[in-house]
Amino acid sequence: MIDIVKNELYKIFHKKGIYIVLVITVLFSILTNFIYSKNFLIDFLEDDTFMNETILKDLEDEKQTQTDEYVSTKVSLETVKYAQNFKRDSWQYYVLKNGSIYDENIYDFLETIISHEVGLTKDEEAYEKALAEKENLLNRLENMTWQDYAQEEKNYYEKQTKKDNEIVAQLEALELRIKYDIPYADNSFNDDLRDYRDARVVELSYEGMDEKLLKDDQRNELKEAVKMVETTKYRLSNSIEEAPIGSNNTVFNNFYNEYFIMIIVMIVLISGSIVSDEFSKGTIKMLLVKPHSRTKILMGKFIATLLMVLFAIASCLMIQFVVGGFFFGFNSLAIPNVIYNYNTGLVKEMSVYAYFSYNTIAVLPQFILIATIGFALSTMTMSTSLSNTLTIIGIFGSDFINSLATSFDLNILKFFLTLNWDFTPYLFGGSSLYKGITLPFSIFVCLFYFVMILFLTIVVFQNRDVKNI
Amino acid sequence: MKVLECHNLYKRFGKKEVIKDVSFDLETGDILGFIGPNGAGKTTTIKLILGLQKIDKGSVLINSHDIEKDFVKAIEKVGAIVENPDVYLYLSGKKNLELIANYYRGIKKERIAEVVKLVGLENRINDKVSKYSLGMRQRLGIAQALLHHPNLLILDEPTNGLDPEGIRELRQLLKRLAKEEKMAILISSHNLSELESLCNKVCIIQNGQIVEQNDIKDLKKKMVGSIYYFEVNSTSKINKLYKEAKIMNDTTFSLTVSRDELPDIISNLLSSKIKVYAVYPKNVTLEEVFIEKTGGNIID
Repeated sequence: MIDIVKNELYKIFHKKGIYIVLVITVLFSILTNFIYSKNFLIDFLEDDTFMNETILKDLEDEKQTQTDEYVSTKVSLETVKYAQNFKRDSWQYYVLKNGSIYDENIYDFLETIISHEVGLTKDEEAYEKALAEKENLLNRLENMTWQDYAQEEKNYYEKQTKKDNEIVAQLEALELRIKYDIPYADNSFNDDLRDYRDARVVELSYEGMDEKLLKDDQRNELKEAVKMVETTKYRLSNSIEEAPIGSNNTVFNNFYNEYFIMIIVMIVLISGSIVSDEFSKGTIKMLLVKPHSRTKILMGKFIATLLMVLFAIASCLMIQFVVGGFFFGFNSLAIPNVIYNYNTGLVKEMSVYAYFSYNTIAVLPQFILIATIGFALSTMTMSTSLSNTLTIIGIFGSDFINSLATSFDLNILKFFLTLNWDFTPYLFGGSSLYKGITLPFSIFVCLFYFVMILFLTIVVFQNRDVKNI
Repeated sequence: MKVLECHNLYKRFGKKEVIKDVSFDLETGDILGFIGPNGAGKTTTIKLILGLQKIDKGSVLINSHDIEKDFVKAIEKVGAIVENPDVYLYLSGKKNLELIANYYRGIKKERIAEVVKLVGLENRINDKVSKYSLGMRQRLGIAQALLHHPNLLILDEPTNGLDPEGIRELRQLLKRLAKEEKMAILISSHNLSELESLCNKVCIIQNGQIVEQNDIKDLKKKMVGSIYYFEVNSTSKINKLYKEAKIMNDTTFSLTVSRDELPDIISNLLSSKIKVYAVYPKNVTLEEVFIEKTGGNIID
């Protein structure tokens, strides 16, 4: 049996196909890492200066009729300009740039100044006063430490008589900032504070409600909010920085999202041709007159296919490791992930490698089943192109079934393979995205399909007459 | 010793009966020529023997093992080429043989070198098969069939693509294998003149049925004994004497008779004032037997 498997692997590695796919994977990896390194989208979305300038240009002719919009756009642009009075890495820059000035008054006097400057009002006195106030604010910010500013912000919110969820959450975030000594800056801890505040708002909105009365999507929203609150709190208290988007760490944590296509392509190409190629070239006759049962010959090929699934994952991993290292270096791989367990509600640290291993175990059933289906189609149709096409259509067609399952409460769909074969949602105490599907159920469905497909394939292969080729 | 026994083989594809009641045996040292027009069922019979297709009725025994019930034992000592030499074009000839050796136990490197030498591929064995000519591929196919010392060799159209020298070499090789290695060889071919000098048995199949099977010598003797050429001074009066006589030209005619009748015919001719210069038996080729038995190359 080992010799048969070895023969099959030898044949696979002496065909051109696999090397073409590997070269494509390298190019794909370079492109992926390049996109991560540039943060194209993120920069574009976060920096609204360009957009505001465009809007302003459009509004220039209509500023008499659309005064409010014109002024507010200009105010946004002006605050960015004020930010530029300070150093780029200063806390003042961050505060002004992100518009997180607690005191709404600043917008009032900016409005006054701008309205006057563009000739919408003629109130000289108010203008002068606003100008003085502006200077005052900038001076004040310049001479303040960020701790003073945070205290001031805190006092401001505490003075509010009507404390809604947002103010409560903002206050909690400020307390964390002061407690863990986190200056205003463009870094992951400030992102954590923001995420913490937003998640707390959600959490607070469910406070006092009976969890049993919640709808599914509400329960999920609450769950995600609790997870966010707990993980950000853990990061802040243990000062574990989140790896930047443009890092080997982030690409590794998103490995199966980024490389899914390439792994699937490799699996489909190999599983879809390993039997049918022998039929189309006629070499199947040579194989079947060897002193081994047909089942043994077929299983040798199937085992080789499964080993190639591991090869596909391993080769993508190696390529990412090298290409990612070339782009970002390897330092970021030391940053641990912070994992929240939905069951226990506990938070723990996990190395990038351990996290990757868990994910691999969770996606493996899906890859193995895709390989099994490709293999079955290859054996039954005896046509490489037909089986490859059918498998690809199946994989992407299954998205449609999955969306049907989420949109409608079709209970029968829960027996469908593609709703069950991804075990990633079950990681760390999580649950399936689909109603009525649990971990044991998914294991059962996957095993059932696996055994049935394999059994059918063996029966078909056993009874096949080798026609003229 | 009987190496191959086919008992009443029957096979149908849908409603079409492809093989009807085919039976024949093969013994050690036999070289059986399996001939028949295109579509007669030669390749299908070979596939039934090798277990590549299910047998609807009847049975195949190889070295006394039933091919369907005891496949692994039965196929163990069989080497075969079916339709084409089935080798991997993207691998070298040597690697092809090494892969095949892996399916058998205890085939050593030396044995591979031995069969390569046997088929005369030493100089090109490390080249990729895709660079081989059809003849070289055929030789490689024969090499892979011989690798594991089979005692039954089944070759489907092995001379396809071989040049005359290659055919001569193959003929010698097969004769030697049958004699020295005590192999039984089943060989199908449409090139009848090749089989004639190679086989000791012949089996003619048409429309899925065996129409003639015999030792090639007996078969020819049977035919040889029946047609005689007569050389005479004039054939003008012959048809009056023998209606069935075939007039070849002014001085030659042929007659289908037995040897015992010859003296009577000669004295009859002499008494009719016909001078007889020579009487000789017709030299029958396998091709003529084949055409007589099958009525030409008709595909149903």
